[in-house]
Amino acid sequence: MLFFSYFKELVGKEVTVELKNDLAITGTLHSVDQYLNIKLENTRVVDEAKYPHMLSVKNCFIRGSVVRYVQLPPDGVDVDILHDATRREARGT
Amino acid sequence: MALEGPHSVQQFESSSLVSYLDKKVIVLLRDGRSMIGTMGSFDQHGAIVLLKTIERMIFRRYYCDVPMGVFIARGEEVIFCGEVDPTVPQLPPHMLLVTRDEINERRKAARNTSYLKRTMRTRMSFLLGIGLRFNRGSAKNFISGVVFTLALVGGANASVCGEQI
Repeated sequence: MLFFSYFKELVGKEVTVELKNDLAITGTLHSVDQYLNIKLENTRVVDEAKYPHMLSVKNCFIRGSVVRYVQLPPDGVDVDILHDATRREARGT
Repeated sequence: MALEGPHSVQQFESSSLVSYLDKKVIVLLRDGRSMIGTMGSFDQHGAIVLLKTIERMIFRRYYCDVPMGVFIARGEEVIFCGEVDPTVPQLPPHMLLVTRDEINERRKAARNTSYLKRTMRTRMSFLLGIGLRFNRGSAKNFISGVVFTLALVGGANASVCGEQI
């Protein structure tokens, strides 16, 4: 549940989600659920020339299992908190 | 079946597909196809039911729409679901509407071209091999390589060239 909590903290920030089919979508993180399914708003496809049919998509739902990477904003990562949380989780408390 | 209890739709509404119900959506499938239709239903696995579905086939700047009726996709096949904004044109103006057969023809032609390119590179790789042998200084292999090359270059002249060497 660590990354679920982590992504919940990132809601409202601008992220780029890269899918396993090489489609990359940038948008504002709207919500995330336990499977790390992601909902984005104000989306735009990074390579618009390659995916012309995605022009009119303004918000979207991405299945967690097809996500390859999530690119985060630089200020979205607090390594110390993650570090502590990982150890807390490992201790089971 | 009533949608109630601790796992009710309400609880996960913010992160589920509920907000897309009865909206026009574009769904990308794992095999690369894209479907456009009205979201009729979905479940906890992400399986979806689309109504008045069309498959939008796109190849380079050509596209066509194939009617699919009611379309049910298994959850794991669905990779992406986006709401289509009706106020924005769905395709850029340079896209051309063609028939399904034409799209298939163009895809097939492109596949054949790339196959040919690939196989030609493999077939011609022995030319590279000659260069390597020559560098190693084995004249015998080099000559046999040249004979082989010439034999390929012209069927009728092949034996003549071989005799000359």
